[in-house]
Amino acid sequence: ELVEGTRRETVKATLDSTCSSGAVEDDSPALKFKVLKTWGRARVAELQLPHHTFKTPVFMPVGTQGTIKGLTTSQVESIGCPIILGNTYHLGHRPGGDVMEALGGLHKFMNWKRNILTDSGGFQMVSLLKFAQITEQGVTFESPHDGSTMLLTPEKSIQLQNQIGADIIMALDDVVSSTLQDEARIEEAMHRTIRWIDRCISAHSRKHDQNLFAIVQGGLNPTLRRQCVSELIKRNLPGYAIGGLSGGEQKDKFAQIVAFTAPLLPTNKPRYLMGVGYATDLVVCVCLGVDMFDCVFPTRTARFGTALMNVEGGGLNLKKSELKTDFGRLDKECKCEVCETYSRSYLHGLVVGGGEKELGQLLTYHNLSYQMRLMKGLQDGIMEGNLDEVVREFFKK
Amino acid sequence: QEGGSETKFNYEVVQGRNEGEGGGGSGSRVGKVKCRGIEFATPSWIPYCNKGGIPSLGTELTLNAHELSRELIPVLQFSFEEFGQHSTTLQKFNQDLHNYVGDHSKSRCVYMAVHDPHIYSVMPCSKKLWIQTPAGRIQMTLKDYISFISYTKPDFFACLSHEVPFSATKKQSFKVVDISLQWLKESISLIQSQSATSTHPFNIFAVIHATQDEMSRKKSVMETIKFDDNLSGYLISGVGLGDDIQNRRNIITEILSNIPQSKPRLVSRIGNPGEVLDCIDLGIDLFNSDYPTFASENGLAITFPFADPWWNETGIRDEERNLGQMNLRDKRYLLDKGALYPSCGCFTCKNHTAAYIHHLLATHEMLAAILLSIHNIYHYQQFFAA
Repeated sequence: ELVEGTRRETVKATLDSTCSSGAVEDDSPALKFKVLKTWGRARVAELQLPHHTFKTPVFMPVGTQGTIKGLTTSQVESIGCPIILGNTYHLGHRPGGDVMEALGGLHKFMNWKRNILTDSGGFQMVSLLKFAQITEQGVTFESPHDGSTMLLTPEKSIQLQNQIGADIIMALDDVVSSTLQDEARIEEAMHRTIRWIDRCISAHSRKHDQNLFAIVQGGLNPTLRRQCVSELIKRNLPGYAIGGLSGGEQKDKFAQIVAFTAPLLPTNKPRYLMGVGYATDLVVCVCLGVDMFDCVFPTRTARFGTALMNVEGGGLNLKKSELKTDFGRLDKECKCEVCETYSRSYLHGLVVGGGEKELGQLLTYHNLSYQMRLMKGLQDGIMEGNLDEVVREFFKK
Repeated sequence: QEGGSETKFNYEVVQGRNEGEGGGGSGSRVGKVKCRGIEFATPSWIPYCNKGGIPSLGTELTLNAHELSRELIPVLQFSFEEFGQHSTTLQKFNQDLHNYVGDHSKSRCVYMAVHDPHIYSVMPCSKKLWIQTPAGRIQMTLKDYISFISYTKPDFFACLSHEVPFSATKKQSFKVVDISLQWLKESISLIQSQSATSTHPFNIFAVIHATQDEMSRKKSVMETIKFDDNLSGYLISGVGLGDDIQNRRNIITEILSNIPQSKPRLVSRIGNPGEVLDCIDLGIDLFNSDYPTFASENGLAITFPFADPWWNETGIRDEERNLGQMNLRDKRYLLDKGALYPSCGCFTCKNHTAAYIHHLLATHEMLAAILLSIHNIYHYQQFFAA
């Protein structure tokens, strides 16, 4: 009740402030994006969503099945994460849209007071490709868990996302792997994405408190990307994402496409680059004008025993045997609770001695703290006008 | 006694059962342990911890995040079985085990057991102790153990001993008891020679073997109590390993009626509430087990009722809660918006629903064991408090 009441109050406040200021488009009643400062193409903005207001650029941890693996929501909150991801395909399967609706939506279900963004299920077209069949109608998935099939259409995806209740919902797009050499398929996917966005918009029944973001496709082809952007902008949505990247394509091509596409998106709306989470990529793409990022990398690598830090290679593998007698702090720059409490020796002992679960929790906590600190560092650089120094320092390490 | 009396392990009986009631043994009592300024009441549960702390829940940092404060869990049990192989590392570390596992303010007591209560492996019974490591078995001597204790500095610890089940043969029992007594003697003399250079009080619990062989058992009791002045308590070893309830009762009664009542009695492996009550009735004070966390690994929430207001309420949602264990994997919890246990004050019940935990189990998420463990431990400790 408390969460529900607070949410209603927040939405009402959003509507009130929208009406009084008159400075925001009427088609984004549930989102307010105000750029506070810029440095080159990079910008710090205040993003107001129904559950929580925060600053961008932001990194969003992924809690696929309604949990950030190994952490309670109060721990995620204490790390400082303002927004997390949930996945429509997985949650649509278990517990299912109707159960989710009956239990009051994902915020209530997992007891998370801040913001949630749900991915449409589009990425599963790539990650679960061998289980997927894509047609104009939608995607038919065969579940790897129990063999059952699910037809995910734009309408179905949006309906599920309406039931889940996230603050930002993603359109169902036709996603192809960025390493695919088939230009015809990439072009087909780009056009279909545009046709599907209209179906998503029609199906969306909660425009007043859920923000539908469109996703730009087009592979590594600037022409296709430009075409896609110009069509999507016509739909005048609260925000836009760049999809279809971070799938293993070459880094220089990746950066080129982001550099090309990001400025084409409206400056007064959030720009979300999907699936990007390596520190280097985050730094580069913030400089290119991106506001929002998500990735499983920090949490996944934690469970495999790697702590992220500003060292060559980006992290420390705690399995290394020389750490057995290293009683030093995990990350000398980090002030998170894990770094304040445990030595490298102890953490190493957990990796090799059967304490993987406990270690996974601790490193997840640290890695997310690292991500938050990284973003904060970039925000400070923009606000204080010394982003170039910040970036230079980062790359030195 | 020298060496900082506040680090000494003190125990006193606060309220004992009337001496005249019931048979031989000392009977149940409420006691108070005071060690290093940390006080807690007995009978009490001491959770089994692996290197990572309480399974799924960790040590100080995460325990506090989950609202399992030191008032709720005042003692953690670690083992030589697990940490012994890291002796050299710990010696280099040059600080207490508390610091190593992240309890820098030493807000909880550490009990160092030799054997963990959650597994039992049969090891050869010799003048040295075998411990299993990922790289194979290694042998440790008594001197190794006492050195280990001197640099990990647990608040109290069990004397080195082999662990044999109740059903041990006459020959085995004789050998084990003999070795334990030797090790006790040696431990005490080593400790006394250490006290010249160290201020650490070495609060040692002697081991009494509860075997079916009467002669060995009696010898274990009689010879051990001679050292009572040097001891902080007694560990009754061998129960919880295949002994039946009636035999256990007889043997524990016999043992407890022959050892001083002024010192606490500890058993390992006994966690089931019925058996715990049984042992409390006979006069056991401390229970080292993994009972609540073991249940969480299997998707079970512990909900057995005890001295509890809702016992008399109508409108109890679920038979299962009454019976003491909820299987959260069952589909009946799919839409259950309520907490696991009405009126429970634990972090899980205050913040999450049975439906959510059911979902976490169905999707094989780590958080399921975490949330269940928090509740199970909280509930289990409320049981002890009651």
